Amino acid sequence: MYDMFLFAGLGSVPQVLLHLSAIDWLIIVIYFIAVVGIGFYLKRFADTGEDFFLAGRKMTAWVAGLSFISANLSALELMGWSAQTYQYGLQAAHSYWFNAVPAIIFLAIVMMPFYYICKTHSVPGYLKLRYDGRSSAVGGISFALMTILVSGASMFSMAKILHLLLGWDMNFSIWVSSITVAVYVTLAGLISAIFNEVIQFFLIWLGTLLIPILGLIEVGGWSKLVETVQRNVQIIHPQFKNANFTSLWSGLGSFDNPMGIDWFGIVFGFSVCGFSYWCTDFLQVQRVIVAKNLRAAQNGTLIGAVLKMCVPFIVILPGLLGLALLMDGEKPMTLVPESDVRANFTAYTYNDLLPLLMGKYLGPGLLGLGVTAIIAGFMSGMAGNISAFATVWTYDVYKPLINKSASDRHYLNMGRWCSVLGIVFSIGTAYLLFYFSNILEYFQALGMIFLLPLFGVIILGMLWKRCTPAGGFWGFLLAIFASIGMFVLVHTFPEGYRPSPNAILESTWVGGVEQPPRVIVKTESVKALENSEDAKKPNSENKYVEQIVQVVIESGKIVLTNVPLTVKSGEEPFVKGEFTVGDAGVEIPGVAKNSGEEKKIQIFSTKVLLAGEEGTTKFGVEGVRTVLNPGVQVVARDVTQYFNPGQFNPQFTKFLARSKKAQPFAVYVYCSLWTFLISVVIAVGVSLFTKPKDEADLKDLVMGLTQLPDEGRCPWYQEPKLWAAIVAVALLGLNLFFW
Amino acid sequence: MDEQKQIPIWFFIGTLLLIYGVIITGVGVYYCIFPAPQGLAMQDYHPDLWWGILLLAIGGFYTFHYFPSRKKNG
Repeated sequence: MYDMFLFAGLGSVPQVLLHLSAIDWLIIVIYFIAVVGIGFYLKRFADTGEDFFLAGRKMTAWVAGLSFISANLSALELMGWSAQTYQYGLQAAHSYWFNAVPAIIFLAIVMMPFYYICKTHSVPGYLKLRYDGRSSAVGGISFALMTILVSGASMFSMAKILHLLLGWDMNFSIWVSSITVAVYVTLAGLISAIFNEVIQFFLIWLGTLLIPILGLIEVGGWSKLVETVQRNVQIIHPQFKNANFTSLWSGLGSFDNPMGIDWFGIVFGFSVCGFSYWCTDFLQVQRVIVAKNLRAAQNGTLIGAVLKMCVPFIVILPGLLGLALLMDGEKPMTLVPESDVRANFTAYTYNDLLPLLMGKYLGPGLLGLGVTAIIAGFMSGMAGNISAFATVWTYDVYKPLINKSASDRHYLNMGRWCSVLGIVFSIGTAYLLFYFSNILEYFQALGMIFLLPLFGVIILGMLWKRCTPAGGFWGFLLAIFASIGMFVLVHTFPEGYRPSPNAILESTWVGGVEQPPRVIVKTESVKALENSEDAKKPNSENKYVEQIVQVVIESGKIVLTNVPLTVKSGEEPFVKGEFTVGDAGVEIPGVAKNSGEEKKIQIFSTKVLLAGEEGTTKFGVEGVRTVLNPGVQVVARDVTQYFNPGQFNPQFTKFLARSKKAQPFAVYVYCSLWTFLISVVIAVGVSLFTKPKDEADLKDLVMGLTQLPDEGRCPWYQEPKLWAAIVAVALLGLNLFFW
Repeated sequence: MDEQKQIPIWFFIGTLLLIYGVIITGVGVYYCIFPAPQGLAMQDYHPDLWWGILLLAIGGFYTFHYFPSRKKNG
């Protein structure tokens, strides 16, 4: 006997997590009709390039602020950060209360005047004015590439999530959402994207707000929630038994916390990541530079800061509620990461947390509203990327490098075509992502490569008039190469990386008919909890449970990775090749040596016929001796990788992230900090030896040479600096309260 | 861009929320009379009914306040 059930009751997760009623479908269909209808209505207001790319620069502070925050509040954020909270606890709120809000305040008060007064149409456009065409071209091309990759990733995530939640075909989801976005962005450009983002803001809040409200009522309030979370994490995250999952800062003295990062990384690394995203990602900046005046742009940004500060209520709180309230029988339910081989076979994943809570609380109608919120979140994120792509491509790549003197109508048409092409490219990158497992890490890596170098040279350019065009260009370009180098380094394994031993059971096809593998599971009743601490508790000694002692594969195909087989006794273990099991049968051990360590062998299938049960089911066990009966087809692979973007080599991460214990999140945070410092050091170094621009050319672009416009007196409650101070004090209060 | 004739965004939001409010309030009323689906938590509080009424209130306010024929716009 090797091990017990992988999950209770021969665990398998249902094929579809949520079931929609006709009412839910009606709500989703109404949303699609509304967004396309608004696109057709707004087409008449997008007659010029300024209308299409910059929404006529007529947005009020509220519309700009809601759009600013909605462009970021995608479904990926909703599901991703509630999942991260389940994994890391309240520390995940640093993403809002330390990474985002201070950066948004900085954008509003310090950077916005430069962006707004120089009347740039884009962030690469600012680079052209402040430095020269070289920096602008690098900025334009890298940003266009990043938006397409991000948009594709959003599209892929949406398709995957809708497939897992609702059973929708992934191709269907990708194409329907893409065509819808293509229609409304192509028709009216940025104004259409902004309108839909504001609608999406309401849908996301109204579609998800009920979950934390009902959850808090059910658990009995905040103090009960804290108590239950701390009790349940003993079972859910036994490796972090002593960690405080409801504290922001108190566990950051070392790397021994669920996030695997220390206070230094959060304060200096994560904050720089936030500044780079919020202050230089054109997708965000575009939303507020189109406000009707500077004050509206600043106040719109600050409205965004206030709203961002509130987002943890619908994102972080559900993560904590998931730790407290999701149960598997009488035990807390344990979710696994997407990269875990059990994911979606026998266990729900972290990303399923919000849908599981939706399924728990939302009935017909409300569930449709919740699913609509998720779809709207994805589509508006995609639309935001596409409209930003069209602007940057047309103004910063096509116009300066390809066709300098065309008519406004020509550029408007180019923007429309770019929107369609952007969607097509995004679909391509969406399919590329079928090969990646962790989307949030993918986004972090993209930010590290494209945004941190940009932020370094932009902030230097705004604050230091001595920074030269050559300094800006080389600081930007070399930091991009350095970050790519760090990305490659942490995923490189000079001595080879061997994936954990695993086996996938597959169907065979006989005469065009699918034959799922047939499996017999042999169990025996054994004393429960022996050798565990719980066995010492009263009333536990007479408990018996059924445990799997052997699995017999009667028919089908089995694909083995790094699993040694002994075909006949006395022979060398068989590690790669294909064969059909002969009369003697073959046995797979419960454990195998992998890179010098003993690892339990995991066996999975999306579809098996279990002896004694009707119909097919998902299936997964680990560490169990398995017998392959004669006739079973075997495909054995021996896999050693020297580069794997999903794995981190601790040999290198311990230098870059200051600790071998640093988790992937921490590794990228530290690499981002180094990237930023590299861009600043190179830009400063090169500037000291090259000629700066004349001060006359830097007017309205650099601190000290920029005169703020006189927009007249305003009531005290419209004063941006006052609101910035209020938001900063509230932010400090939140950090102290949840210390 | 023809700003004079453009319907404010708030009107679109109001209309959408109003439609959703009618549907969800209708469902809420139905489940006050007939039993709600099994397996849902906290249904004694009738969240669909209250949430539907909230949607109706927000949607109704925006639709009325920003109705295109009224002079005021956002």
